[in-house]
Amino acid sequence: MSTPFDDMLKSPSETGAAPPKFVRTRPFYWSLRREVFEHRGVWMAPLAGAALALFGFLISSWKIPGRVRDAVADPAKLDNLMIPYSFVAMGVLVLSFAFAIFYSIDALHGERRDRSILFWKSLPVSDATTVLSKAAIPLAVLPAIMIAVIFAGQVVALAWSSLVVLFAGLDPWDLWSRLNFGFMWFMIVYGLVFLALWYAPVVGYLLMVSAWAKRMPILWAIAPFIAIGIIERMAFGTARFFSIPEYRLGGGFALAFTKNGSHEDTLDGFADLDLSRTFANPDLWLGLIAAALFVFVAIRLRRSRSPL
Amino acid sequence: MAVIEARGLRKAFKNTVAVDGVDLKVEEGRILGLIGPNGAGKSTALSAILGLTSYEGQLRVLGCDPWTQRDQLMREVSFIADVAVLPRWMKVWQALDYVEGVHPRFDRAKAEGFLAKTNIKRTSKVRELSKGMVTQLHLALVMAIDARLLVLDEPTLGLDILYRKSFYDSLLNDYFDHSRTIVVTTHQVEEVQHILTDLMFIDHGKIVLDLTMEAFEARFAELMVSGERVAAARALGPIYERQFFGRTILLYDGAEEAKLAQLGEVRPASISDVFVAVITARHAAQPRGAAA
Repeated sequence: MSTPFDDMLKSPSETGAAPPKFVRTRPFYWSLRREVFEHRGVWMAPLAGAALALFGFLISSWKIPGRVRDAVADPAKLDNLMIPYSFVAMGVLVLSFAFAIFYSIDALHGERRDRSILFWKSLPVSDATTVLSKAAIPLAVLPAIMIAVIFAGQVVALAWSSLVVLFAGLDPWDLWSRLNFGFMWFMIVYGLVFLALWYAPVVGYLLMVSAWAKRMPILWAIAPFIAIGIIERMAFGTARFFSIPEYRLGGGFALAFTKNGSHEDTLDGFADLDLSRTFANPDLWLGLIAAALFVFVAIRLRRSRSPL
Repeated sequence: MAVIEARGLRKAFKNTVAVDGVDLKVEEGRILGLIGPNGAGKSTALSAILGLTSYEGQLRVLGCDPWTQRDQLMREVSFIADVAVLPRWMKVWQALDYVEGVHPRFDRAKAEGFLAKTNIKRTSKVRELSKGMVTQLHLALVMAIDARLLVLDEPTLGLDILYRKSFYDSLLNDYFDHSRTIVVTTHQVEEVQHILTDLMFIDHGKIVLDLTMEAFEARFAELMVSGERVAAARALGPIYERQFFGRTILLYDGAEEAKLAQLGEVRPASISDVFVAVITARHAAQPRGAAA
């Protein structure tokens, strides 16, 4: 009796196939592709965020003509016109953020859980390439996809509002001439670049815990902060330690999108923007150093990791 | 240059010494069977060879230190650790694309040729394939890699006997040539006996037998005797004895075949019988645990 193995291996030599040609490989690029194969959330999370925001916008379409009339009458109400477009960006941001957290904490744990690490390690891809590609997903690939999705979502929103305005008997130019997309799109690109850098240590930390923990990496990621926080609270009655993650998680938005890092003074135009202030912020650079350390530890940990 | 060369290879875990000072040399073109009871240290030794675990002592595989140069080493080494390591979410075409993208010695046409002979669809996910098909896929990927060393750790675990047999047949007939080297561990010793060129028994982290198959066949023989001849046969110093349908089968290490032939039917010894004899004798002389 024959089984598929019998035939499987014969044909190439029999048919005289060409000898294998050795092509230049691109391990980093293919490691990224591999991640996107596995985690479709990289593009589905931003899409879902945009879809949610657009759906909300759709069911509140009746407000659009009123907003346009208000803005035409009173330039102070101009900002209201931008709300739907900010919402698209927010929707994409929130879901992508959630994806990035869950992705990072599972990235080096999942491959051990399903034993596939033995397959990955049987190929000529270094631990550094693997870990760096996993860090690049939330820090580079995801932001790029987010920018594209936000842009596309806003174009859809604009097309829809134009239609609504037209059917309400208004001139679409009243809408178009009052929208400030230049500043918004600049802020989206700048904001995402800044936030990716700002959150790099968070991603690095989660990757490191993901490579280290035997089970429940998310719990292990949170536990030290809670434990040290409680001890500090009991010993000194202060909460300084807990302010570290709090600042890292929330501080990036304040730094990127306000005049002085406080939550009140939001940036309204290019005049308010001071890139040298945001990018020269020492906390940003301290965070990047921490990120490099975390990623380095994650690479070393992965080398000695075997299936769970 | 030896493909694998180890001197004083040692790996200790918290409570046990898995590999305890192993000296090993595997030359190009050999097919080595690494045989040992569970927990003997086979897989740990292979892990060290493949750069999956750190170790003490000296180890060179194709001139590389596997622990620090795993990615370079994997250009010339393939391994199937066990059948269940292909990622279950992956689609067949994704696996082909990925391996082609990262492996300079992967011949995609060859892999596609293998797959064309199976029922595996390009769009199937690994999780949708049967166990046999997953092995076929893994094999198609590995066999299309022009590797100098192939390491197989229990490659046929959980596969039925038809697959197991054809697996080893195709390995020997279609993959192996004398510029390649294969190291295989398995519990199904009988199935690999005819393909091996070299044999190594490992027990409690130590190599207890290391010889070529020619030497094995010259050294070990099995004698089947009945009735009154048993006593005479025992006098020749068998290393192991068992009963088989009222007859006695005795296993000899280095006995003269002519003398044995006068007493009964002489047959080549099987690896599994010699394995049982050697390991039982060791465990009797040195109770389990004392070795560590």
